[in-house]
Amino acid sequence: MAITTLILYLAFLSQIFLLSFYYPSRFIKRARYVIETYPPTDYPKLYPSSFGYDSKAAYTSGLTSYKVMNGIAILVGLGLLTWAIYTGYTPSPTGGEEVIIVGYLFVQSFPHIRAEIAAYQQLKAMQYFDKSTKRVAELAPRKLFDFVSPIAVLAAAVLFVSWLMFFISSEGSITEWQDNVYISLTILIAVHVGYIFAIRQALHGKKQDPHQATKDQLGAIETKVKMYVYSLIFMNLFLLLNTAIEISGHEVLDPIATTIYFQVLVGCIMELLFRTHKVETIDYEVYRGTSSQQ
Amino acid sequence: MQIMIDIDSNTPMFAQLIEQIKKAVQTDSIKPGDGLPSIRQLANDLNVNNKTVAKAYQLLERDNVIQTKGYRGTFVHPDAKANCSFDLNAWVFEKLSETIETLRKAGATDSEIRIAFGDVINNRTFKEKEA
Repeated sequence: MAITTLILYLAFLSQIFLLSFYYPSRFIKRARYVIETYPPTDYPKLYPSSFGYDSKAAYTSGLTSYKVMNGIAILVGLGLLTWAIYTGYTPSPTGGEEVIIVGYLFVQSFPHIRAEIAAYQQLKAMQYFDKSTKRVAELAPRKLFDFVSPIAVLAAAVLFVSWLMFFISSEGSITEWQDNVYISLTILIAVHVGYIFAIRQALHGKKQDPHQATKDQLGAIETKVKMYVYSLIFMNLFLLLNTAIEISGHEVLDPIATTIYFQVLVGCIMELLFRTHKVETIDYEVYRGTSSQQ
Repeated sequence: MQIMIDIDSNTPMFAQLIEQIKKAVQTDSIKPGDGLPSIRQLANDLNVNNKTVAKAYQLLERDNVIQTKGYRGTFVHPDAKANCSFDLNAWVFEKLSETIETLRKAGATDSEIRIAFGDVINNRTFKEKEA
């Protein structure tokens, strides 16, 4: 077995472990800690629901389905790996097989998308059931550099410009450009613009959780802004690496670079979430109240 | 420094905002040159319409309590504290009282003054009225 094939298998195994087992387990542990420590009976504002609806049961069943979906993703991943080993699969030297990695990542993302939808629905319900007439806001502007270091923003910008120049120079004269060059450039510039809008929205957008304490709101903004800026840094590093691989004719490394990129990216985002937004430091007293206060 | 509005209060929300910002200036909670949140940020945080905050900011700017410096944002005016003590409502009341007193002395009835006041505030000229 070629060394690149072995590295790919190991990297893919690591992708299965990290994205469908390790981080989901930490996420479940965090969610269980919240529901056990702050139960719906004492903190009804955290579990908005209609009368007679068992919030705890719904929350627990949501976690179970998240666990099952991750289990299915693990089985699909291990199935793919077994098939690859059994058939003696080796990545194509002409590249293009990172599609398998991206496709599997799509399968792995289902439980997380489901969890995000559930979180969004929970916040919408919080807003719907919020009957308080008093609204509080901080009388200070929120600026980008209050939440993320200027060096990180500069690094993201420099890396983007570097990749853009590297990519354009690697494609030769503009008269020789094929449609795919224009498409790649348009998509990637649009993605960057999208990130800028997302950062702006995180800084000045609507407060999703009507009960959230100001310090937690600022903490959540910091996590989001850092997450977007670091994602941009990793994305541009990956794009640089990808272009370098293409120029040097080592397309066989594409699937390895892709899986490592996604693992580093997700790892960075999750660590950021767990470290900067520690569940133990969140003020849950704002969700305390009687059922009638929902 | 936090501000709080009550959406059930009889006082309009923009007036509550003005009152709280002026109070923050008078109590030195915010000082001249301090930045204020953008209209969008404050409106989103308070879950109110942008126009409500814009109106409050516009009136505060008119009274020289705050000043907008283009894209740099909105700041507390250097003379904000002195300008906060200036009560525009009281000034309008005083000026109108003086004018009405002059008109009464000239022989105008309260009814005539009221009608004329309504016409003036609606930008109707005397000629239009006569026509």
